Amino acid sequence: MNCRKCKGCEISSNVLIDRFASKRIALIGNPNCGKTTLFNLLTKSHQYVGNWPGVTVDRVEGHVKDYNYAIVDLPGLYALSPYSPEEIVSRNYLLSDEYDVIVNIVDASHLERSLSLTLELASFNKPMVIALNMMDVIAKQGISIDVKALENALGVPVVSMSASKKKGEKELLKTIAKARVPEIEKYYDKNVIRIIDSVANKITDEKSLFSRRFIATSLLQSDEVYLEEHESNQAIMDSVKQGIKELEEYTNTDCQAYFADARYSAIGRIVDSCKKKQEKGNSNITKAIDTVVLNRILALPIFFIVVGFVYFGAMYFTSYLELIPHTADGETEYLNITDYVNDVVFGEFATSIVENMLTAVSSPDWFVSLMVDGVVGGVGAVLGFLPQIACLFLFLSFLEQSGYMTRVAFILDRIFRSFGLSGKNFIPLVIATGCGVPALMANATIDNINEKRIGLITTTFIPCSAKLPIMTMIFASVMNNAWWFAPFVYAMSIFSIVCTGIILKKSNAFNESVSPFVMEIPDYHMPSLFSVLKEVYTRCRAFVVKAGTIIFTVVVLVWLLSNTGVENKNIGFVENVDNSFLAMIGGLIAFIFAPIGFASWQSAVAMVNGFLAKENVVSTMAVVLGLSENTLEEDQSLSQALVSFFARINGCDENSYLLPIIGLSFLSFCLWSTPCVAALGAMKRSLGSNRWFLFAIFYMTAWAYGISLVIYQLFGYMYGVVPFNTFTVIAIAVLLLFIVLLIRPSKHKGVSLSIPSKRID
Amino acid sequence: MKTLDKIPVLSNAVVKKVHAKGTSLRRRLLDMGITQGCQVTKVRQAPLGDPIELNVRGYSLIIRNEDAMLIEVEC
Repeated sequence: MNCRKCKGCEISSNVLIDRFASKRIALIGNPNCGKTTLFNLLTKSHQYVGNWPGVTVDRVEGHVKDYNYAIVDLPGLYALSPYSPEEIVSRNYLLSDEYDVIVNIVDASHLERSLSLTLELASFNKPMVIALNMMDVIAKQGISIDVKALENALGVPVVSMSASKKKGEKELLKTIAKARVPEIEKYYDKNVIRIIDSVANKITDEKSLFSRRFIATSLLQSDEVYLEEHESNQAIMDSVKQGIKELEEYTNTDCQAYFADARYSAIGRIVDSCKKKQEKGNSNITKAIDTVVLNRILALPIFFIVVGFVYFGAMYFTSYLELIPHTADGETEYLNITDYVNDVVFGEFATSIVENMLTAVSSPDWFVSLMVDGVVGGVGAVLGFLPQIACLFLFLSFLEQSGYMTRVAFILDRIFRSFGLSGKNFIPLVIATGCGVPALMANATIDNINEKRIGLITTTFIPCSAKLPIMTMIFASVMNNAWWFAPFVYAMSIFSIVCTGIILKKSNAFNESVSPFVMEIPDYHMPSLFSVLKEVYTRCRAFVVKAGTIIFTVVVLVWLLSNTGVENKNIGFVENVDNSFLAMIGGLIAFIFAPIGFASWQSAVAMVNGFLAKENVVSTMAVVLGLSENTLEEDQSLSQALVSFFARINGCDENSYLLPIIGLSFLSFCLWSTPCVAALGAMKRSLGSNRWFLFAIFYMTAWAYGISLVIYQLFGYMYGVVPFNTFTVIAIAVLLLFIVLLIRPSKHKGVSLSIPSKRID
Repeated sequence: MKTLDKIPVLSNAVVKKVHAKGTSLRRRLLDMGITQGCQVTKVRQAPLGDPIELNVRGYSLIIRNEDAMLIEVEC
């Protein structure tokens, strides 16, 4: 059954594989222990990615063909506490009866810490096998581990491996059949086991029987989730209270600290029995590189250089560097990759093929136009972004998999933390100066879901290159080339990002529980070409499929609306855009823009076309003002026409202060409201749910409208060009609302508590 | 009371107690191996002084200063 290509029955094929598998395996281990590499090694490409219900954690499953094993790859985690979504999802899975064997990957180069999870897993009372990975790394460090001794000490089979070197895989698969249930009596004090069992024995719920010891141990550590679950069971609650009391008397410390300590003491004994040399931390190469890369003075400059490379790869290489020769009408010019894909591959090549095909079968004109301008145009709009996205992720996955991104989070945390973002948000913002689509996709590497969401909402506040023509158009016409214009725009962008972060961070919706900021800095690791390419492929595919459908739909829809209408009393295709349905709709919604100064069907239509691609705003304005659509943004005729247009619809003189104010208002709305449909598609894909997507749209539109309102009404009133009216009052209210949202106390305490000294017990 | 955020860079310390009982952060610190009696080295600070990198139980960990304030140590 080779169903991996069919996304439709993804779920049912998993279930079938699961049901007919000879063994079901739960694969679990710390982050950075080589789990993904091992998973890929075992399952080759038979993998399915889904979602754990209720949380934003990927559920990855696979199938080992030769042995007919089903594997669930649980998220990388350090422990099984009740605090973060990954841990909860994994605990629940481990407590279920949906698997037969636990394969725990242990990083041999960080043995002591890795075994902490192992000992927690032991209390689930399920057969286990340890895959002792990264044996090649410790061999290089001159450390050796007595695997047999480790097996004896732990009481479960241990398979020595090096997943990256593809060694040990067969041995592991064979050993799974010999998995054994660990005996925690080997690790802990008799007295403690007695206390654990006194609680465990009270848990009589059938489903939990085999893992009662885990639940009991958790209850004794005041685990919130289980305490709530068993609240009503008096017998359990009493035994827990009794157990905690006894334990704290016996050990003279609180239970949480006790269990951590007991685990690590047991680990100390185990490690001593099988290893002679003490680990000194990360490998020497890693330490050497970090001395430079994390040096207090060099860290930031080096970071900017790295970001420069990423930008170079994603934007410059694909959108500016003129590489590809193209000959048209006897002239050869050099095009950059993106332009080549858009203008040549789609603009000329695909267009002419489709056109020829259709004319050959005598298709009606309107159909040809639909297929060529609408469909090919739509598909081209999506696929045109692929070069940028592919290049971006080539660099980003390399950085992420090499381990550098953790260092980035370390370097920039202090600045970004105060407005709800993290160091990892910086790179998307830089890329956004080029194009919002790859920038939004770049937010994918952010693990903290709150920071990721805020990042996705704020990334497109930075003006992308498509918005530059709009800026130039306004600058050249109504702004009289004011020197402060460009600084104003960029300052406003950054201001928008920072304020949005601060405002959103205060609300509960953006404080979903995540792991506290306690991160391991992993060894540097040279990513394999295969895994980098695999990620590039996965991201590109996800973009095309998920973002692509929206983009395509909207392009075709707008094409339809702008080419059909009522002309000369006939409903059908129109020549003049003034008569299109789009213009009609524009006229209907124009009043929305009245409070911000540019209520007219022309600007409304420009906005809608800008929705397709921001650079369309300029060409649309040119067309509706009677000029050719190819008029350049700095063209005098466009500037003049724009000035006259704004003056006319507001009934004022062409030299009035009103014009720059309108210009700024118009610009603000174009720049900071929702980005083009391609970026929106990328945003939706990255945000995941419709709920968040709608919120993002609402927020950005409200934000931009608020800025435009304040500019037009308040500055307009201050300069005496806009009379006092209801909207002046509304504008003041909006300003006040903004200030309130910005300075109100946060409803949420924050994951890391700032404990004033008197609370330290 | 000496806490981890106050000790100088590159110095070793032994953990005496982890405060803030009942919080997810404390649980996380304990789970990562910062337990009573364990050796900790403050390796470096980030360019802006925060967060800090620690060497504990054979690996490198980053925590924020406001969280390091909860780890009582003796040098």
